[in-house]
Amino acid sequence: MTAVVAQARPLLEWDWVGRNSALLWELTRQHLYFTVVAVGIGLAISLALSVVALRWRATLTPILGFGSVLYTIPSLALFALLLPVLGIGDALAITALVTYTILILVRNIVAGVDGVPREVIEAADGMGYRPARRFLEIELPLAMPVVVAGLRIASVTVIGLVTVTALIGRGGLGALILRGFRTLPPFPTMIVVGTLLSVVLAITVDLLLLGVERALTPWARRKAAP
Amino acid sequence: MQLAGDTLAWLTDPARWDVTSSAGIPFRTFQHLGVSVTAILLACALAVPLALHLAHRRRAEALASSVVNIGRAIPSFGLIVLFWLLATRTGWVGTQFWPLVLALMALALPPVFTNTYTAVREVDAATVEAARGMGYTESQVLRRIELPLASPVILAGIRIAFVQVVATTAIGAIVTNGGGLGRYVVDGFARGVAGRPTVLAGALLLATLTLLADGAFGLLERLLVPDGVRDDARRADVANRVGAAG
Amino acid sequence: MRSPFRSRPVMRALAPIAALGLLLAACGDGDPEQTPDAQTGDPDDDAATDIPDGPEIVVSSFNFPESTILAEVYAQAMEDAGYPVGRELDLGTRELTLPALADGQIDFLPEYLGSALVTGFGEEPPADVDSGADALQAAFEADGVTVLTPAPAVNSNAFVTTSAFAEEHGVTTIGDLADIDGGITFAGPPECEERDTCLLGLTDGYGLDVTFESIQEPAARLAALEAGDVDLILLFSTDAPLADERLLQLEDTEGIVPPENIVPVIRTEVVDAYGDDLVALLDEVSSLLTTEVLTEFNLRSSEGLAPDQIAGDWLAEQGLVG
Repeated sequence: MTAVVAQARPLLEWDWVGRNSALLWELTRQHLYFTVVAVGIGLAISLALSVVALRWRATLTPILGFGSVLYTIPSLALFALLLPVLGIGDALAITALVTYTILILVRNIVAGVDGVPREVIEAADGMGYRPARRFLEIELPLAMPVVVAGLRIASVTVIGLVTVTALIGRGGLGALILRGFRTLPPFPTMIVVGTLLSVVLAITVDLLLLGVERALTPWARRKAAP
Repeated sequence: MQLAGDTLAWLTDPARWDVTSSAGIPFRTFQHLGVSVTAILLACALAVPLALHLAHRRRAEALASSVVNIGRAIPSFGLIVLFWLLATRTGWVGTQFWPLVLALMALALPPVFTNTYTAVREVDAATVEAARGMGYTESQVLRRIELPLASPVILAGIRIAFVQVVATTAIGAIVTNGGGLGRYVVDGFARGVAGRPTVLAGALLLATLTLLADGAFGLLERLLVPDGVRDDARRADVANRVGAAG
Repeated sequence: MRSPFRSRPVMRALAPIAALGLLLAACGDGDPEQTPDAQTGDPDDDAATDIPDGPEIVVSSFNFPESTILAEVYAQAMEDAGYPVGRELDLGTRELTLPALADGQIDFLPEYLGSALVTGFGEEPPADVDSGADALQAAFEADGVTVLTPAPAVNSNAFVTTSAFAEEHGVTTIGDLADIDGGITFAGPPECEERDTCLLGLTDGYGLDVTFESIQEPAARLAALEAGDVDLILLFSTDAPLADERLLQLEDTEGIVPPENIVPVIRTEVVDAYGDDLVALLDEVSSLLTTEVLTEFNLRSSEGLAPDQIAGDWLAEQGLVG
């Protein structure tokens, strides 16, 4: 006999999904909103840090080390550490999410720019490009495939972490999982659908960006680098 | 700064460090590591042999490269709650320990698998051929050539997965009494302003444990990896490829 | 050298990203601060024109479904009458919500009489509902909060064990637990540890030997109870699983749990702004809330209905809206 805590309900009730499709769209939209904002801000910060690291090589290791420490701190701990400073709200969630993108994006931007062939740099110099313009018009665009690869990883990571922000009152699809769990007895469909939709969203974004990555390297259709 | 003072007071309270108390830091740290280490050991036991075997035979390439992406796409919070839910419905396992451990194991499988696989595949083909030419059996090639040469990258992957598991264990405090150090953060949140020192202290302990775990694993790598084989550049590449956050 | 940005592959690659951006923008500007439970109701076009201008009434609730449903009930009733309502639902425990209420960050909270006094203000548990309401009003005076008429509905702490355990040890009341050798393990939410209506009531009020396990969510507690990891857990008296005969709520003979009527509390400045009509509306809603209604709310919640739906359906059934 099933336990009291386990309702005799199927794990996935399609008619519940049908009746609540508006809710599911809204939660997915919220989820995506947090992801896009966090990755966007992360990209901006990482670009700035990368410029510094590329210009003054000695700073690369400390910058990556800093990013690595941020990355290692558990999300729950990070919410707690930032809470006194930011209070509960969107800013807390987004700030924490941004910190998880720094390491990946800086690493990839730097690797991408470093990967631009020497001949191209020299040709640009020979044609009179000044460093700033060379960076913006030559090096960065040519680094795009590797940068986008980093964006892929960062985005998928953030999508997974957005669910954890449910614990501080946000969470998009994570809020649905939490609600299913907080119901007594727990409602299986909310938990299953919340998790599945999060996975689907992550895979969709991953494939979308993979398409972008591939489209940016028409001259080298080798097996995609990470 | 009052908060900083309160947090420091919380951390230095000797009652917290009482080894016998189940609410004390030593017990909870031990519990936390118990969950994390069990999960990573299980993940390695499943993923490493399989990956070694497949990589040696040059099979399942597409699977290996995509599995880590799919793994990254699975939300840790969702998986932990889901495993807990399944545990309540089947009654095979308790709900306090195994659902969390199995969920963490599942999250650790993709990075460990893909990393081990890639590590073996990247072993210099010429070396492998030379070994075969010298009469090594397939099993010997794997054990004496590929495995040692691949070991730094394999261990780097396990290290990253382990750190992720230690970090994610904290989330288990939501579903059980067994979330180790995460318990402090969750309980503290529930207590509002009065609980802030607990939350901060718990967060600091959690972050420290995770960083220590990372460092300790680094030492382990130094011990296990044969001297001639350490390769820091490739390890960094591994981290990039496999990175997962908790 | 032509910038790669002008080359076609790059433009083609950027197209899907642009499309995604347009899609996100087109899906409207939903406020990401809303929890999934918060959907603003349609403003009633025939709003009573005699509602004076006043501040938005921010309705809040504790972090469990019943509280959110109650908040929605009051919120939708007010909205239907034309009052401007905002929501900060599922905010947290009393330790989080009362300070927010005192600060004016939130304006309205459906409280529980006994716990508000004992846990919120450290007062003695009230002997009855009326004296309790008076005491609570006195306590809230300093924060600028008005206590409205309590509802008949009651939801109090329930100390629950499995029927099997109860039979095995011959317990029917909480006091009977004292006879168990070696004490008992009790699981409750984190805030329970320091509350007289909870753990302290067991240890001080009943003198029990209790090992406390902190498990935040009731579902996890129930699972732990059924798995035998703990002997006793805290639930709410209106929780759906209590109806199951495999669980037994132990009698509180010492009365550590005070009368816990639903009692809405609202900031005095809001009452002053809108006058007696608002109070009359809220009192009317309260008068219709019975314990059976709460149990029904929780049951519908366990069937996957959203709090705002449950609230809306009930209000419609009672003829309080539309």
